[in-house]
Amino acid sequence: MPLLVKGLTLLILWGVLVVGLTRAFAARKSALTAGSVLGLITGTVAGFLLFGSFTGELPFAIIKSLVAVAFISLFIVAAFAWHKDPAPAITVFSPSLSDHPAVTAMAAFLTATVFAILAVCRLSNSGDNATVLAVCFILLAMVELWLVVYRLEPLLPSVLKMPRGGLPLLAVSLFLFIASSSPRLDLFSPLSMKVMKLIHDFVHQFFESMLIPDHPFFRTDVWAYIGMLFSNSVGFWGGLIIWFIPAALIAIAVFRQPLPSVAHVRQAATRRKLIAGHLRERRCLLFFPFFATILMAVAVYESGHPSVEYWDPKPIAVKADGAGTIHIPVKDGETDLKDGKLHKYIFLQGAKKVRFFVLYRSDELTVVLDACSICQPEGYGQSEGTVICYYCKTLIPLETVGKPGGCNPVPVSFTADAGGVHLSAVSLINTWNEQVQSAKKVPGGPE
Amino acid sequence: MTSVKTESSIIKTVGLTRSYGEICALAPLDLQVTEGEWLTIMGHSGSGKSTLLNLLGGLDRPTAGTLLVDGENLLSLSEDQLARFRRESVGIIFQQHHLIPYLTSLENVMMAQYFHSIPDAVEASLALEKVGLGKRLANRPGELSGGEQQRVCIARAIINNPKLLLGDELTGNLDHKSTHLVMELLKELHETERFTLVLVTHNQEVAGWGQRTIFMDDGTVVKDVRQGRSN
Repeated sequence: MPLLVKGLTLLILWGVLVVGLTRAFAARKSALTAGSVLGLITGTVAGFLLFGSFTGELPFAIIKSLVAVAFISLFIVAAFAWHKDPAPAITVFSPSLSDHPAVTAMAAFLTATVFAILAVCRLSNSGDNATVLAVCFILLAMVELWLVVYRLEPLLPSVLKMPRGGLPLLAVSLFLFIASSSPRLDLFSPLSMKVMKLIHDFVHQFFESMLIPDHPFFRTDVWAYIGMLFSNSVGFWGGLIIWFIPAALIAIAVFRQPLPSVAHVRQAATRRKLIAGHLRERRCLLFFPFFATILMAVAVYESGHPSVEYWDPKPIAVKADGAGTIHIPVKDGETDLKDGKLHKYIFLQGAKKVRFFVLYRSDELTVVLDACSICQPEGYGQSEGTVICYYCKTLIPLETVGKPGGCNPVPVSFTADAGGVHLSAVSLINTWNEQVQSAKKVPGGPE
Repeated sequence: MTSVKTESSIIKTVGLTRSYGEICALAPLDLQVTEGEWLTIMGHSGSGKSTLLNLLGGLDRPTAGTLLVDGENLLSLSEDQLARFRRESVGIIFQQHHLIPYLTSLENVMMAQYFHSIPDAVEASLALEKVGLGKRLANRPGELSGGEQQRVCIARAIINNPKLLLGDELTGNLDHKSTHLVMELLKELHETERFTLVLVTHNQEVAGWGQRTIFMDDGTVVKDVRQGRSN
């Protein structure tokens, strides 16, 4: 994504967040502004400290955990919003407490801090000028904060009010939206994988404990339904339900709010007019939850269709020599195995097709299958510092490619010398057959 | 929205004019109607009666002059504000009933509620009972007589409790007996609901039901008569 588009998108999202904050804490603009400025500064410093102090995946893992904690907290907030009579300690965003300047400042501070950390993370890979760009962005965000709070927000329709739990929902949906544009921060793919694994384990446990009948008379019918639970989409749909539960709870909470009584009004037409007004107000309360839902839906789409372009060369066909050994030279025409990019190959023997790739990382060459032992063999692509499993979207740091386990590409035994890498064709085919899940529809899979 | 309510007058026009090109349908006209009054407008065809009624109901805009209805200067209202004014402050009954043929009488009345605020079937059925149609709630207009249809129109016009009720030849299609029934009903409602009633008619007998009659000719008021009710 071009830097300008990235920066503008972040500024627009920040503007929306500030509108939400102002609508939630309408009476405390000074506290809101002070808290937000402090949060932007804190978040920026924290972001730079993270990326300056740690390398590799750790900063991303910390930020991802931060967003995940915010998402889990949203469930608590949504549950209390949904509950008709929330406990006083949790009504942080109820109208009574939102008038308190300390609460306003704290909410604005936390929101702005997480936003700034995410913004620094998104802008940190913008080349040599990343620091300058990030600082400029935060300064622009401060100017925008003032413009939105004191100039733009008063012009917006007064009926657009924030429902109970609406601000956390808006903030978290924005965080998820920003995070989804980077595969390293994306939460939806891991969530859907967890759901899929949970369902698989659950069914497996039932089967193990003989609770699923295995009688020949109804085995086919039962397994037809169980088969659905093992389909690829079960994780996606399960994840989707969890993803949208907070927004649904908050929307239901809005509808559960009792309308003010109009019984004291004698004239029926006036009474109807008052009720219509209250209903309109209640519908308008859904604006922010609806907007947040759209952001979360886009985040799901982004998660499945990341804008990051992966290095994924077309596999080169290789053959074994008379002794059954495949030789791949370090340099062959334009190909250089030591250029740090993965190089894909395909070995064909009769109907057998085996994909593997060679990668130079940590000053040595490694050879692995283009598949792991868990997922369907949809292969890997390479992005900055990682390879990604196309099937489960798991990111594997380059340092761990060549090590067995998890969703890592399956290692292949090979020898390397100055001339290149050498591997046994039989060993390669056996490793594929033993380790990789069969998939009829997957191109390149064993047939 | 300007709101200038003159003392006890619900309608006040000063130099009210409506022209269609070179044709002057309404010459500069000054008129004042007090709240709760029953005014009848008479005159031959083309005298400007319906033009005046359309202006009072916010269905048309004047070419010049001042038009205050229930404190609202209708000339200064935007289209949206004018629509809201029509929904909330005015009820209109036409000679052609303009009932929706595929809706029942109850649904026709509820339609007016819907555009005003929210529909309420109980309130709508009470309004129909008030006009003597309590047993015809589920009938479509085609299944009702002309007088009954006009009574549905009256229920529809008063359902939103307007301050001003306008009628344009509302008994024009009715026979003598039905006319009497409708006028009797209007009189009863006028006394209980206390709205201001402005009726346009050619019928001298209908005019006799009102408290005041103005006669129009060539877009001007030529005679203004206050009377006791003949019925």
